[in-house]
Amino acid sequence: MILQIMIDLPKCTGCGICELACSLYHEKECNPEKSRCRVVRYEHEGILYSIPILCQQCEDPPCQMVCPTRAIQQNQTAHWVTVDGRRCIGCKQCFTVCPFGCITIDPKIGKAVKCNLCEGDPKCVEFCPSGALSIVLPDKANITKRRSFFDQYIESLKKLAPSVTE
Amino acid sequence: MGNPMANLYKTHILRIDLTTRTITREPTFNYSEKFIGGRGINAKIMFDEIKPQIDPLGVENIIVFGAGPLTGTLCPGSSRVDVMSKSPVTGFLGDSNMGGNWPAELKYAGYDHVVIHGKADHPVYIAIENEKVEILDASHLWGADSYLTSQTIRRKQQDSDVKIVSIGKAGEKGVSYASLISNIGNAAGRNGMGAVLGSKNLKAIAVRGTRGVQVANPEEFFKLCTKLHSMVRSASGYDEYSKRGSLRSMTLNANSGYTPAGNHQTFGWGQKAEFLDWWKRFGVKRAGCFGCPVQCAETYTIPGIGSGVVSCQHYIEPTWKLKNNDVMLWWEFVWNCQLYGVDVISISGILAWVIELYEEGIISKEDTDGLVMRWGDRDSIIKMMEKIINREGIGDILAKGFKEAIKHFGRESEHYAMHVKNSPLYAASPRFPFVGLETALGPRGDYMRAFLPFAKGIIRVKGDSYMSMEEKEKLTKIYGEEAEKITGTRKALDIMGFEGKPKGIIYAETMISIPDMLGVCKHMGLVNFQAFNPDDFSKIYSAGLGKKVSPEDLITAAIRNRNVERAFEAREGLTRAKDTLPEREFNKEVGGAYGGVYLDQTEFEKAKDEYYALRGWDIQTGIPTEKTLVDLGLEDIAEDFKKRNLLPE
Repeated sequence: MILQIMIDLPKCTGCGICELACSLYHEKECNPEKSRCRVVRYEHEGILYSIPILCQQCEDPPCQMVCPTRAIQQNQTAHWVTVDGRRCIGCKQCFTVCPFGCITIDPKIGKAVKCNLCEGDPKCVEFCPSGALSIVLPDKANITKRRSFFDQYIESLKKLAPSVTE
Repeated sequence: MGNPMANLYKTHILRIDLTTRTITREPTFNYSEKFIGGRGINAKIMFDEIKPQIDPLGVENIIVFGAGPLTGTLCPGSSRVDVMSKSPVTGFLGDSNMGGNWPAELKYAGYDHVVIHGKADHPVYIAIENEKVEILDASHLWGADSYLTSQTIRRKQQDSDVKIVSIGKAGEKGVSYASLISNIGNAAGRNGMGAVLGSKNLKAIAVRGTRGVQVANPEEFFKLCTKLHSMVRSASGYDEYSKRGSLRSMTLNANSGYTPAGNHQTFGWGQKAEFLDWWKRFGVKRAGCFGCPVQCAETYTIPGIGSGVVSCQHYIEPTWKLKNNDVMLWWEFVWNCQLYGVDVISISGILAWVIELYEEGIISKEDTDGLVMRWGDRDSIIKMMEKIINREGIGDILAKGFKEAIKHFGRESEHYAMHVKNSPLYAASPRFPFVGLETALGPRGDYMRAFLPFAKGIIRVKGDSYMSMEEKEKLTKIYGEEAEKITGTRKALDIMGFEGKPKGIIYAETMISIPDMLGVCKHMGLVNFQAFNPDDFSKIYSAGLGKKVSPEDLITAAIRNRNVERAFEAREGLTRAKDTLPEREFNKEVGGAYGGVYLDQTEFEKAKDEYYALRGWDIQTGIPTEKTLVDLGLEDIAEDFKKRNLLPE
């Protein structure tokens, strides 16, 4: 059963609750800088646009591939990727290769830190108020998207030819 | 960890003297034993450091920004800052509260409070990045609107995550009711905080912090936050607010009929402005403060005018006070307020007054620089607004507020001036005792410092057309019980009665002071979602602080806070006589749904007596007595009052 955090971009308001929940849960302090899940914000003409960026739990994780000490491992059943702090030597190779910038380096000990989906119960998802983050099974997730596309399609049909659908 | 205040509090009050360009840091601990957080410590700093009778726009005034202990944490709705200064509008305590992402960032930079002293000799802005604090040249920013200011500073600091509060043209030119605007559209609007910043030649404060807020007991704190978040998210009204924000309250207010129209002349006037439709057409996305699950604001992009964020009073004020149904004009108006930094409530009030004076023939075209002033008319409203912001012609006088403008237009105009202590009234009619008493007693011409928890019952039951009769009966019962619990009488729910209101208002002042002190949005508490009560606040504060603070401690701190604020005002010359309302509220002349409804002045004065007595203030003067001050541990204030001969007999 592969778990995946799905990001619904238009829903994100940039409130940063995911960052606070993550940092408090894992790092025991409220500090977005220490969160594994980061919101990238961009302001234009008074409007805040934002995207939450977090580890995608890749199937072929580049971080795992480059790790010389096998500190990064993929969970056999749910496929999340974790760092074993005892094995990590702080070489930062994973940090270099991650295409999403989702490996952070703990400034105190210099070792890699990354999202482990809170072992299957991600706090960022639990706290996200807008529904921008949700945990999904990839095979089920598409149903929602297809549905919403279907609704849109029907709406546009109605506009084009009211008589067809009514 | 020798410092007991390392948790929640960030240990430092940052003091910046713009005259001498010196930057000092002082431990928050000096204050935080007795006073709590944002509003609590702010008020004490104000009392201690502002000499009586100084000019609010002079060098001696200070402006204090205070983030609360819970600000920047996972506690819902916790990114708030309380801004205080001697107000150029009222001449008394200026107090305005703002959300956004600036307050949390201030905490992350390592400061609880920022106190600005003195005046720079040329335009500057302050850039704070953790321990690095700089006073930088802002000559190139002078005159820039709030969007451009944020953009330019971010580019200069080479960091897109810098959070900014700035003033616009209004603040620079010293429009007395100018506001502070944050980079994501939040405003500390009331009481002219922007004018104070402008008088100091300070264009903006940019903050970037990476240091986080520590909590004493992370597991416990996390658990409490989980509970509070789910409480907020399951509260009644959450769905409406998080999906449609204040658009809903717009309809609610309109229907309840307690929103006055025009210059507080009538209730109901054929409001037709369709904001829901507007939201569907031009809405971009929902927006709100950092760390808040509600996200109560809307963002719009309107081709040809511009984009921005609006919420709450933005909708109501220009629509109702200026009797405007043209949504495009409304947008232009609020957009100007945002860009040039002017309080939407105050400027709407001033314009409504001018329009009525013009209608009544008290002023003519010659007085308005040739402008014909009409309700809901673009030429009248936008042109006059621009005159005020730029301080041209008649706008120069209107920018100074009611007092100066009345001098200019003559005594006759005073009857129409709707203000309390010179601060233009909020669009909620004070002729209902629950609004009126607080509006008169509070410092700002509005009742947002004491919103009765059961007022919602009053408003909803009267006006919510979405609600069935059964629901209304159920609500009346629930709110009736609440009213009884708080004030001891169910009659407190009576919209026109005074009974129980003074007690209710004291309760409400306390309940709003607590979140203000802790740095949490008051909407999380009793104003809207009713998710937090003092018990919850005490639990989460204690878990974060690592020290037990009981609900009673919080309530005492809130009462102490109100007394410090009142003491500040009393020293500035506030007396009972100034705690009053415009005379129109005591007259019958208003029409509409509540036509013929007015405040009974004798009853009103009696209720004030009751309020002062309950507060332990002198009934004749409204000044806190020595006993009250000493009982609250404010001996130094009592001492100061004794020296000045202010203590009531």
